[in-house]
Amino acid sequence: MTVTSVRTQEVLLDSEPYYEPVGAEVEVFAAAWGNRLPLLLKGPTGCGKTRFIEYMSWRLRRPLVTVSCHDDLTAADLVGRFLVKGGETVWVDGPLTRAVRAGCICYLDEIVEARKDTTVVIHPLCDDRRLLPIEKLGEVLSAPPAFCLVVSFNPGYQSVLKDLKQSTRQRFVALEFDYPQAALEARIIANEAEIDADVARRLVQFGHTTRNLKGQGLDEGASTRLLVNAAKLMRSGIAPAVACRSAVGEALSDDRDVLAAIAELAAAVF
Amino acid sequence: MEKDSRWILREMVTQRPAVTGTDDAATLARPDADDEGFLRHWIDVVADSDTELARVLAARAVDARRRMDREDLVVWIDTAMHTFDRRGLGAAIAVLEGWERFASERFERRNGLPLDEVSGVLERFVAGLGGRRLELRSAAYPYTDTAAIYVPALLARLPEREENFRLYKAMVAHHWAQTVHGSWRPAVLATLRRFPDRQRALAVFAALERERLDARVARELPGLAREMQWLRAQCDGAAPQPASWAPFAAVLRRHGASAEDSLRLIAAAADTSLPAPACYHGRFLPDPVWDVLTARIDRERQRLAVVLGKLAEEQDRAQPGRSLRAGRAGGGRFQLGTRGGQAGRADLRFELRADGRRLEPPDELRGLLVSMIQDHGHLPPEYLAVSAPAVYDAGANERTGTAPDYHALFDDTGRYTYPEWDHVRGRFRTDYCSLRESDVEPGDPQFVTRTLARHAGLVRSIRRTFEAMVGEVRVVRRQAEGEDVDVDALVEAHVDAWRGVEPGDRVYTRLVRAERNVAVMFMVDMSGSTRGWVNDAEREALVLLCEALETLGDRYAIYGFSGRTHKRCEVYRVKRFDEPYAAAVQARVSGIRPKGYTRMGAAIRHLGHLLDGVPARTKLLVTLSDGKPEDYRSYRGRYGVEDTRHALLEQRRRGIHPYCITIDREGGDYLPHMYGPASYAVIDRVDRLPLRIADIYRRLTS
Repeated sequence: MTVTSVRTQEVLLDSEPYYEPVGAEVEVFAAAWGNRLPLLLKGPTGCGKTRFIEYMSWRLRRPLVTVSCHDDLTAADLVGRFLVKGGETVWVDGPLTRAVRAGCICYLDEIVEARKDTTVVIHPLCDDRRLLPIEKLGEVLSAPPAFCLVVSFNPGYQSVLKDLKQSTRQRFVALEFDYPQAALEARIIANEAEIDADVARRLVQFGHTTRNLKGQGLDEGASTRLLVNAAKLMRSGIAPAVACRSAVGEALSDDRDVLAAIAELAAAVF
Repeated sequence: MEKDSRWILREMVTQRPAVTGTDDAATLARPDADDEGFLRHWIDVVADSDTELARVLAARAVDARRRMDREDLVVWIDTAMHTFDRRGLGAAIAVLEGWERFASERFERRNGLPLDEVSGVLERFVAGLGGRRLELRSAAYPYTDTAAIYVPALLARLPEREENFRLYKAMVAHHWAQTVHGSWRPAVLATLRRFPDRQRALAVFAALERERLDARVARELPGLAREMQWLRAQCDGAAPQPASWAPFAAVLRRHGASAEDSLRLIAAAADTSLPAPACYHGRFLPDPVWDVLTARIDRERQRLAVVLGKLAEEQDRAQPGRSLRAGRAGGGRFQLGTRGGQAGRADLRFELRADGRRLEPPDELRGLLVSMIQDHGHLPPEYLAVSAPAVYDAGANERTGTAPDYHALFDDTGRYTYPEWDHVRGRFRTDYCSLRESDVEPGDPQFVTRTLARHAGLVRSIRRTFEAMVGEVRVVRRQAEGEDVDVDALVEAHVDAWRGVEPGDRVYTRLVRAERNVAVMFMVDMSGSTRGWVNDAEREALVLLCEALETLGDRYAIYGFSGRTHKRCEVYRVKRFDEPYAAAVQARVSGIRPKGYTRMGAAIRHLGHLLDGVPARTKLLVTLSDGKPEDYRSYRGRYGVEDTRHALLEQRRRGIHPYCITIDREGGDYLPHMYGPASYAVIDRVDRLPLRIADIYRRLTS
């Protein structure tokens, strides 16, 4: 009878996701989790934040609940709401509530996109109280030790509207992510897409040329994710220039000059 | 329209010596009927501006038509008319008379590739390659001064445009390599100066560097190197390298060869015959490089001192008691570590530490460091010292550092040029209108207080109405999903289900916040015709409007406009977008006074441009006027209306909604044509304007 709005499944990964540590992030995460501290992951899109969380979820053997925040995501979407089922109203837990009840890792991706009223539920959960108030049920959940709240945020969007408030960010242990160093990035691409190390190295070089264009027609350069996509196309026999254009260029911009320049850069590198 | 063109054309055909012979010759010389109509049309258009110019055109049109296709011909005539508009009859006639050269240039241009068409791509291409930002400029031959890369304005060396583009790309890449791979470091320049035979030394150095850079590009950008090879085969033939060159080439093609290697080899290679440069190689000109380099090194060093000084100050503030500036207790230095590569490599990263604490280097610092490392090959450690006075002196240096730009700006402060739409020609007169922006002279500051007192009741009601519009949170009912259950809808659905009818699934309520994201530009007519009542009403209306907008929190700006001929269009600032509504603005509102005529096009284009720069979801350009556009001479009547209409269309294309509030009772005749239906309001009585304006604005934005 009704459409349920947010229906995120908790996932327990059974095989190890591929992840290359860049610094001490694995240890920091584990320590924060052990001390019941929430985490904030900063970094540009496609640099491996989500993969890192998956890896940590596997490593800590905790199920993962992921919520991608959008600008219409309200506190009710996270906590839960009454739904109408067969002539009765039934309470349905939101993903955050489910994660708290089950002691999962709850990952709120791009938290700044969510509506401001979500802070009401996030704040008490993030300090030492670790409480989730469910207003409509008159209930207050206390988070079990295994529960961990992780939010991510891309500081690259220099918009006043898309900034995290101090009162929010100061509740988190922050980990900064960036695109990995060239050699490591090449290894990641080679592993993810199963391509030749030399091609991966060239792809990284190409990626850097697009990152140089940041501020000159591009808001962001090619992320590791885009480079992996290009590598996968190439493994399937697509010519490098075409793969770079489709997987990277077109994904980054619609501007004709920028696209042409990216195509030329790809042609120059390969 | 039946104009002089008929007899002009007849005259020009009969006057031609070749035509006076047999009838055959006359028909040969005479353009076919279709062409004749085409030419006559353009002669008429030109005759509209000047008869003499039309006569000159008529005398050459037939010949020119044989050498140029219609498209080129129109460009030719257009160029002449632009020249006429800007520089007068003599210059325009010269353009028409130079038709043969024009025709051959057009031909070349069509087959060659002009830099303008590809500079956007090339600039980004070179930016993508990395290193310091390089400009692209045109010059007779390619070279670089390490701030810009100079390439010819037009390349027609290869038959295809695509191939000429490749040549451009290779030229740009080679000169980029010169700046990034150390051909122009201060030490290199200094060494080059010490050779007794400087000319020869430079020629040898250039040949050695070409060899080294080609090899380097081939290693790093193999795809580009293949194109360079291809270009050499096309343009330079298969000129073999002199045999004596091989040992030098072998050294320079090694991995890790540097400009110092080239310098060392100059003496040994001084007497060998040098290989010919490739088509994409330019000249090596140390003198312009030296000037640019020395100026930049000074400027950037000062800039770095300023940035580090600021950073140190911030650190001091964040951690009092531990000063980073030398000369204070516990004074220290910055340490800089680099990771991942050398100059010109895209993955160069900086790690800035201040007394062991890691800092996030600001973007500006990053750009500076990239540029400095590119110039020196490393960062001289003394650059990182922060001395207390440097921080303060550097502020002044910073200003002198940007002085040249300042100067250029100063000549043209507040002057802009805009095109104007000529409906007769069916095209723009480019850069035709010269527009100046200035502040309105402040008027009586009491005016605002008086107006508010006079309309106290109205002001109260305006505030109430507009307050209600702010931050409205509405509950939307009967939604497929939402925060809460909509009981009414649920009961209905229940009843439906019970009756056996399919129940609706829209049984939720949702909170929707109507967020206002509006930027509005008010464009106030300050033409002479507003003298008296209209001006008073305009000013009072603005005062009331400001009250409403302040309540609402919408971003708004107010500009007045007037004009007298295309050379003196004026825009008067009353309130900028970023200016608060304070005493200064109020004084300017009361200072709005009638000035010249109503040349609207340029003002719309300028204010539209300003509005375009404001980030807002809804953008409004509201004109407050008393009549149709009008200016001295030609802007009267249809011409002015059409230009205004075109300017408004341009704004629509930008996503700006134009709206007009006018007190011209005949406005209904031309406003729908100019603004489109439902985009204007005619107010029949001047004294009603202040009462109506807030209301109109509310309707417009809710």
